[in-house]
Amino acid sequence: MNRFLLQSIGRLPFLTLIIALFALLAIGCLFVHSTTGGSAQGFPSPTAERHLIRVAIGLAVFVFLVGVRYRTLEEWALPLYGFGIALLCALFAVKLGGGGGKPSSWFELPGFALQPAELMKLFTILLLARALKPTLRAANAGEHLRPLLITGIPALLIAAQPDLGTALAFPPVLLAMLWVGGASTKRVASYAGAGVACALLVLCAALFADVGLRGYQKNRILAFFDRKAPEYAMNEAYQPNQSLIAIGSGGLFGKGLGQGPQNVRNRLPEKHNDFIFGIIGEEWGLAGTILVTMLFAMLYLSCAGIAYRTREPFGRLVAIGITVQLASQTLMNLAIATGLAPVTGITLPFISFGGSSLLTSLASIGIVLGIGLHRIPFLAPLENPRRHEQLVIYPARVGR
Amino acid sequence: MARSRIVWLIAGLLFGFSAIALRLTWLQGFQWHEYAAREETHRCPLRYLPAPRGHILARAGEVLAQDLPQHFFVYTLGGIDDVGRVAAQIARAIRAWDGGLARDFPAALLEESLDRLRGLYRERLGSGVSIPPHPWISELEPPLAHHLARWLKKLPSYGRVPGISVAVDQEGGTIWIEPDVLYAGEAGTRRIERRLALPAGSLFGGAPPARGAPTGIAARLSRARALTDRDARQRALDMKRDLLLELPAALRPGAIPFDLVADVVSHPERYPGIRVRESLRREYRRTEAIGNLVGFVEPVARRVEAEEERAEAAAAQGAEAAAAALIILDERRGGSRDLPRLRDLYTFRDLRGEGYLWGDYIGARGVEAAFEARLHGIAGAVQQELDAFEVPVGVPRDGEAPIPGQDVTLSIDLAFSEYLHGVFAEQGVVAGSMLVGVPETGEIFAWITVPGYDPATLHRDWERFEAIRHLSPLLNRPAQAELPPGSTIKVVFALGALDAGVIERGTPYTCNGVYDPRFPTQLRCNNHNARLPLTLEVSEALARSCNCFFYHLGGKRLGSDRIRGILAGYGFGAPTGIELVGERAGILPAAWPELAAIGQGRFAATPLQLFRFFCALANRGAAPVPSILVAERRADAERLDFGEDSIEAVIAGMVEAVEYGTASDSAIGLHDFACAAKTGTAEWTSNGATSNLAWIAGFAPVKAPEIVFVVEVEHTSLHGGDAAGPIAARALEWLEAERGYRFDSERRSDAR
Repeated sequence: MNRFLLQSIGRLPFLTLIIALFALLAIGCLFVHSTTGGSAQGFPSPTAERHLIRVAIGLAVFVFLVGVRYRTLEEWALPLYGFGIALLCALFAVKLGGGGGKPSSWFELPGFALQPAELMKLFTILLLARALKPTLRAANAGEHLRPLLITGIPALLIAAQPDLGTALAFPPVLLAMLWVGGASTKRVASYAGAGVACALLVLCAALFADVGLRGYQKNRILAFFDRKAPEYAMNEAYQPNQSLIAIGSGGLFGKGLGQGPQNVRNRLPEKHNDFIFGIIGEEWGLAGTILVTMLFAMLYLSCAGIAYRTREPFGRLVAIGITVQLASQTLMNLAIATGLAPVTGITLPFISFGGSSLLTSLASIGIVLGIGLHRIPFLAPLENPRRHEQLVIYPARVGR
Repeated sequence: MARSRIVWLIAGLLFGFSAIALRLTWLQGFQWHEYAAREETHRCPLRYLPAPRGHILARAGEVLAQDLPQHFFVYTLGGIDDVGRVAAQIARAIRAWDGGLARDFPAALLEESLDRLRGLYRERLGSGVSIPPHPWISELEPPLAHHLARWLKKLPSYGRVPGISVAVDQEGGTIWIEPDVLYAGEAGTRRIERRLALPAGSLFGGAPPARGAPTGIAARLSRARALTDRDARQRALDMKRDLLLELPAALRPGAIPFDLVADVVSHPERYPGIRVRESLRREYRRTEAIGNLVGFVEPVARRVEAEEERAEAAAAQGAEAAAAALIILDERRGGSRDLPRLRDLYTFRDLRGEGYLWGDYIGARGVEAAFEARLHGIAGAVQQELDAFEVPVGVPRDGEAPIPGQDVTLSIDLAFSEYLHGVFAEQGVVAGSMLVGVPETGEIFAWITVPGYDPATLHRDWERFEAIRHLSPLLNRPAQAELPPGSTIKVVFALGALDAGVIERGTPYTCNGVYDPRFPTQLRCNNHNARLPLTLEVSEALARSCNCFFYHLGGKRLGSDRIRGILAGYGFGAPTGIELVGERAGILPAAWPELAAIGQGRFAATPLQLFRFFCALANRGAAPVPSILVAERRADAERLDFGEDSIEAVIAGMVEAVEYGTASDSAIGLHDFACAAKTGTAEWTSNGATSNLAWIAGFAPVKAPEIVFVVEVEHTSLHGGDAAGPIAARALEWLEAERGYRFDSERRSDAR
C-alpha cells in the first residue's frame, strides 16, 4: 500500500503534465476556432482546421521525442544548434539578397511559415545543457564564456531580425540554467544585474538620444507608461487597451464562446495569435482565465518536478531550461495581455495559432516528458560534502 | 544544492502565476463594471441626430427660413476599389508558387497594370453596357497557371478575388479579367458622373499612375496603398474610413438631384462603396428686403471661438474674462474646459435640453438670434453598434428622437416689404430704413433696412459688402442705428411743453429767420422762406417746422434738464424692448438745449423709438412695446401721460404739415391721404462728409389711426419731406390698393 502510494506520487508529475497539456491544447483549438470566425455549428473554422493539423503534427513530434532516449539528443545538440544558426543566417541572406529590406523572421514554405527563432530556442537549450554539464559548480568567469556565447549568438541574430520579444526569452533561460547548473548565486545575480543594466541603458539611449530601438519599439514602451495618451490611443496602445477591455468586460463568467463583442466585431487585432488570452478573458471570464493560468502553472510545475527528480545533469538542465523558457514566455504573454508589460510579439504556448511556436513547444514538452521517463543511470557525488567519498548508483526505473 | 535551487525556481514560477491570477481577479472581479462600460461605449457609441430648427414665417405664412435635409455622398476606399487587394493576393499566390523567380514577385507591378487597364475602360464603365472579359496576363508557364487556377478554386468564400479567372491550355495560361466586376467601384462613381453630367473620371480622379499624378479617389487610394506592411492597420483603417465624395462647387449638397439620391439608396449594388448621408441645412428665402431682420445662423464652434478670443483679449487688457454663456455638451471638444460629457444615453437624456452639441448651429443675428431659445430644437441620439472600422452593425439599439424647434411667425408682410424695398431702390436710397406698423398693438409689418443682405447668399456677398462697408450693411438699422432725429423730435417737445404748461395753444412767437443775432449762421431758420418775420403758434410751428420757435422753446423755456425729462418720459434713451437682440438705447442730449430741441447736436434716437412715440401719439396715449410677432393687443402697453388738448394741438400741427407745411408738396404725394406726419432733416457728418439725414414719421388715417410709419433716408442731399416723404406716400398708396385700407382726404377733413 505504502509502495503503491509512493509510486502514485512519483508518477504525479507525468499525469498532471499530460492533463494540463491536453487541456491547454483543447482550449487553444476552441479559441482559435472562436477567434477566426468560427460558428457553433461549423467547427472547425478554416483556420482552426489548419491549427488542428498543426496540433496533430506537433503531437506526433511530441510522442516521437518522448520515445527518444535523450542521450541521443545530447549527441545531436551541436549539429542541431549549427542547423538553427544556419537557418537564422539564411534568413538574413534572403533578406539582404531579396533587397526588400522588409523585416521578416520566417521562411515562407508551402503550407506554413517556418520561424527559425522558435526552433532556435530549443536547440540553444540543448547545447547549453551539454556545455554546462561538465562545468558544474564552475567558479570562475572563464568557464561561463562558452554558455554566454552559445546563448548570445542566436539571441543577437534574432534581435536583429528584429524580433526583440523572442530574443528576450534567452537571457532568463541562460541565467536559470547557469544557476541550477551550479554557478554561484552571487555570480548569476551579477550577470542578471549586468543584463538589467544593459537593458536600461538601451532603453535610456532610445528614449533620450533616439538611438538603438526602432520607432515603434520605443513607442510601445512609451505607450505602456501612458496608455491613455491620445497619440498612442489609436496606435501603439490600441491593442493593449482593447485587450484590457476584452478581459475586464468578461467579468466572472464571460460572455460565452464566440459571443464576445470584441471578438465578433474584430476590435482586438491578433486575437487568434498573441492576444488570444484577451478573448479567453472576454468569453470565459475570470473562471476561464484562472483555469488557463492554473493549467499553465500545473504544466510548468510538473516540468520543474521532473527536473527535480532527475539527477542526471544534462537531463535536469534541459528540463529546467525548457521549463523556464516556456514559463517566461507564458508569463510575458499573460502580462502583456493584462497590461502589465509593454507589447512585444510573443505567442501564448499551446494556445496561440502559430505553427513554429506550437511545434517547438510540443517538442520541448515531449523532451521533458522523455527525460522524466528515461531515468538514466548516473554516477553522482552525493550532495552531502561530508560523505563525498561515497558513490551511489541511481537505477533506471522505466515503466515500473 | 541544485535541488534546492529548483525549489526556488518553482517558488518563482508560482509567484509569477499568482501575480497574473491576482491581476486577473482585480480586472475581472473588481473592475468588471468599468471595463464593461468602456466596452459598451466603444461598441455602441452615441450618434447624435441634429434637431431641425423651427421655421421662420412671414405674416401670410411665407417661409423665410427653414431647415431642409441635404445629402452628401460618402465613400470608403475599400468599398470602391478592390484592385489593390486583388493584385496583392495574386502576387502572394505567385510568390507562394515554388518556381524560382517568383519569390520576389512584386504586387506593385500587377497593380500598375490593372490601373492602366482601368484607363482603357474608363469611358465605358457604368454605361449599362457590359464589357466582355479581357485577357490580362497571357503565356503563363503551364505549371504556374495550374497553380493559380488551383489557388483560385481553393480560396475560402471570404477571400475571393472578384473578376479574375484563369484559363489553361497546352501552350500556357491566361488570366482574364472582367472589367465590370473588377472596376465595379469606379463604375459606380462613373454612374454618378453621368447623372450629374460631369466629365468622365472627374470624381474618381483621372490619370493612371503612369501618366501623371492621380487626383480625387485615385489619389487617396495610391496614398493608402503606399503605406508599408508595418502600417497595415493604418492602411486597413484608411480603406474603411468614410470619406466625403467631393462634388464640384456648382453641385453642392443641395443640388444633388433627389432621384439620384434615391437610386443610390435603393440600389447599393450599382454604387459599391458609396453611401448617402443626410444632414440639415438652413435654407433662407431669397430676398434682401428683410434679410437684416431675419438674420442668419453660425456654427456653435465659431461662436465659442469668438467668445474665447474675446475673453483672451479682455484678459490681456487686465479685465476679468467673461465666461462663455454657451454650454457645450458634446465631448468632441475635450480638454480645455470641464464640459459635461454625453457618453451614454442616460446622461444624454438628462442633459440634452441644456445646451448645444458641437455640430449645432446657433442664431447669430436678427430673428435667428432673438428667438434662439424657441427656434433651436433639442438634438436626439441613437446608440448604434459599430464594428472595429466604425461601420454600423444592425439597427440602432435605443435612442431619443430629436425634438424640432418651434416655428416663429413674424408680423412682417412680405409682399409689402418687397414692394417697399423696390421703392427704396427706385428712389436711389443708398442707406435708410423704414418701419410700418399698427399703432394699437405695436405690431410692425414692414421692417426695411437698406443696404440689406440676403441671408441665402450672404457668404458670397462679402466682396460687395467690403465696398459699402461705410454704410454698415449688417446693421439692423431700425433697432440699431442711433441717428439724430432732426425736426421729427419737435413733436415730442411741443407735446412735452404743452403738457407741462410751459406754452399754451396759441402762444405766439415771432420768427425772424435768425434766433440769436450773435450766431447768425448757426442758429437760423430757413424752413419757411415766405414772409419773414412770421408770427406763429405751436401747430403752425410744427407744420412749418420753424427752427426758431423750437430754439426758443428749448433754450429759453425748457432747458436741458426738462428736455431730458421729456425725452426719458416718452421712452427715448432706453431700448423699446422689442424682441430683437442688440437694440440700441440712443443718446440723450446733455447740453445745447436749443440744438436738442430741433433734434440735432449730441443727440441720437433709433427709428424704433420714434415709431413707438408716434404709436403713442396715434393711440392718444397708449405706447405699446413694438413687436415683430403677430400678437393680440398687448396688456402691458404703457400709457404716456398726454393731455387731450395737447395731443390734438400737436396732431393738428402734423396734419397742417401735410396740408400746407413741410410735407405738402405735391411731388411728395402725401397730400392726397388723410395722414398726419412730421418731416425732419438732420445735418449729419458721417465719414467726414456732411450730408442730410431725411426723416418722416406719422400715422394715417388721422382720427382712428390704423398705421404708423417712420422713414429714414441717410446720405441724401434732399430734405426730409422730399427724400422720405414720397416713400411714405407710396407705402400708403400700396396699402390702399392691396390691403384695403382707406386713407382718403375726405376722412381727414372729418378728423379736423
